[in-house]
Amino acid sequence: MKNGFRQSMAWLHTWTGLVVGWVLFFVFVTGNLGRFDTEIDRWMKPEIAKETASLTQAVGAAQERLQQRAANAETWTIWPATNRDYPNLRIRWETQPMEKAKGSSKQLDERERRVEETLNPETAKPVEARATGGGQLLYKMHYALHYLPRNVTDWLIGICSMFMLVAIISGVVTHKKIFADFFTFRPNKGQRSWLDLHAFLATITLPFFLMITYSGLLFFVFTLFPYPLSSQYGEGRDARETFNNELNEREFSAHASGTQASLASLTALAAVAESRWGVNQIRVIEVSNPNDANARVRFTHLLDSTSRSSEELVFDGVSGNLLGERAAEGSNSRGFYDHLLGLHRGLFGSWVLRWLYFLSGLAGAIIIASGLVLWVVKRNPKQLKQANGPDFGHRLVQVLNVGTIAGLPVAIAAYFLANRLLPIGISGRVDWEVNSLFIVWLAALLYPLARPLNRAWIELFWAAAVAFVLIPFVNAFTTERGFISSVQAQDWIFISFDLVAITTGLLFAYGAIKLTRRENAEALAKPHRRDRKPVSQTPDVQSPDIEVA
Amino acid sequence: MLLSFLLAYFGFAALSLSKNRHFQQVWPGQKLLDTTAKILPTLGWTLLVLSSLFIFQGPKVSIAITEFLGILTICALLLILQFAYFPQSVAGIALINSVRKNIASTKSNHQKN
Repeated sequence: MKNGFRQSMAWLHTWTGLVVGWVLFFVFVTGNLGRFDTEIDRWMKPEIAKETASLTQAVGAAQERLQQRAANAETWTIWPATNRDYPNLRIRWETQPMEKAKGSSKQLDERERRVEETLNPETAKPVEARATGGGQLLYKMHYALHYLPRNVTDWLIGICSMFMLVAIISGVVTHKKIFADFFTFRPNKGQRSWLDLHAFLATITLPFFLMITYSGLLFFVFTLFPYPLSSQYGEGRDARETFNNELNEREFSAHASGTQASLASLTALAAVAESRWGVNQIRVIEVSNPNDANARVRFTHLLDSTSRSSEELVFDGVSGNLLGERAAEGSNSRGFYDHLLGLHRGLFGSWVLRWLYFLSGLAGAIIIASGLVLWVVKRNPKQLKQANGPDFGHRLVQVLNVGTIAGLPVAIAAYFLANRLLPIGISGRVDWEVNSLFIVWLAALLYPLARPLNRAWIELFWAAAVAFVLIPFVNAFTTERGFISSVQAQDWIFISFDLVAITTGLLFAYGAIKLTRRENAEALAKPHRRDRKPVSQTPDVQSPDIEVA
Repeated sequence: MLLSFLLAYFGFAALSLSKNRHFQQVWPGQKLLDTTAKILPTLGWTLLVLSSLFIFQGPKVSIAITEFLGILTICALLLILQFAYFPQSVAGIALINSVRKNIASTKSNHQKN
């Protein structure tokens, strides 16, 4: 610890930021891609076209399919195609953990319990598409990572977010001239530029940064602070469920009676909901205990405010009578919670706001990256003077920086390429898509051990550039939806995906060229420096002074 | 939204140019006069308030706040990049240019007196 409040805060900022920086970079990059989760989903399932069926047709088809496949399920969920978030009719059914049918009771795992399908509303059959994790899996990684159980990742990400919040607040205290330097960025000045970049981006995105971190933490509030909950509700899964039901004010829900009864027509109920809310305003239809005397059908309105909850209508699933409705806003504390979580997700916004969210998140990733690079740049002069090279810790940070900041983008490009290149029928295709992401990232983390640091930056930047530029070409060769046909069909999702991939690739190429130029300039300047200080520099460890794309 | 974006952009431009450092990035060698240094912040803040008024005309206040903060971030980012790489481009804006002419004329008046 240093003396003085600001110095202490600077110390805190440096170390809280460094320790979890790489995880946070991963969280920001994948979470930020989640702003376009649906678009990525659609790109990764090129077989599925956008649908145009009417709600009546869609709901009818969904009921037909669910009745066929899952008459005894615990719940059915139907998402009709409405807006950007719901481009296609999707259904899901969930069975109880113990399957009692057919006499033998067997424990079902998560995948068997929960089945999801994209339906063709005209045939009521599932749409055939390649197996893929899609944008949803990429988005899910930002809070659930991968390969690890949720109870571990909840704590991991929770703790990292807490560090992030501490880093933000101590960073604000540390930054001396917030207003004087508001518009200041001095490029090409080494450490000065890194600090400027870090500070000005953090200043202009501060409201976003604070909101996203704080609300991100709130997602884990019942994990990080379990005791208030367990003191009132007790421990275990049932206690959680009771609590969740009360939190979501699902007061019209009922347990299955065990008596069979035929389910009312969902199409007719949907028409009642539409007459109240207007056309295409149903976000989701949930049926609990279908084909039971206690069946309930719950309609939820599309999101229309920053809150993540919206109006609901609950019907008796047998008689079709309206049991009650719930306003979008509940109690103040729940409203506070729902609005913050809704703000985090940003599903309420137009596409302009979506891009603003994306750019702010991108700035967030650059802030983290520049902070990590700054840590190295600041310590380089002293570390490089040491007789036996930089310390292990310094070297570790350097390697992790290259492997994560330059390596993760390559890995993400690999995920997209794997979607197009893996054989369609291969078993475990979803897993292999994700595996290719992590294998490439691991390789990128090991790469700087084998190469001089500066070369590792440049070569990984080139790898990212090539990988991203390849995406549109691979897409054009492996699907029917290449750039030219997308333009002809005015398919904006595919057009944008290609353009964004090319732009990203070019930015990485620009970064690589800039780094190469700097390396050459330094090589020219070096002989003079060597004359003066014979043992000052090891040639292979230089400041990774790069332009962050 | 576009109008609100433009107003916020000009507002930030005025605020930044009220600082000597940025003023001289755009017009090297010219001095920021005291009167201009006083007028520009007022102009800047007024434009920002106007910008917020336009965006708050939308149906939901909560969404308007989110959009407004996003707009401010992007406007500031644009200006920062302009100052860093193309400082002259800030001067290319007609509104600010008229302010510049005022400065130039007050300056020449100043010298005459």
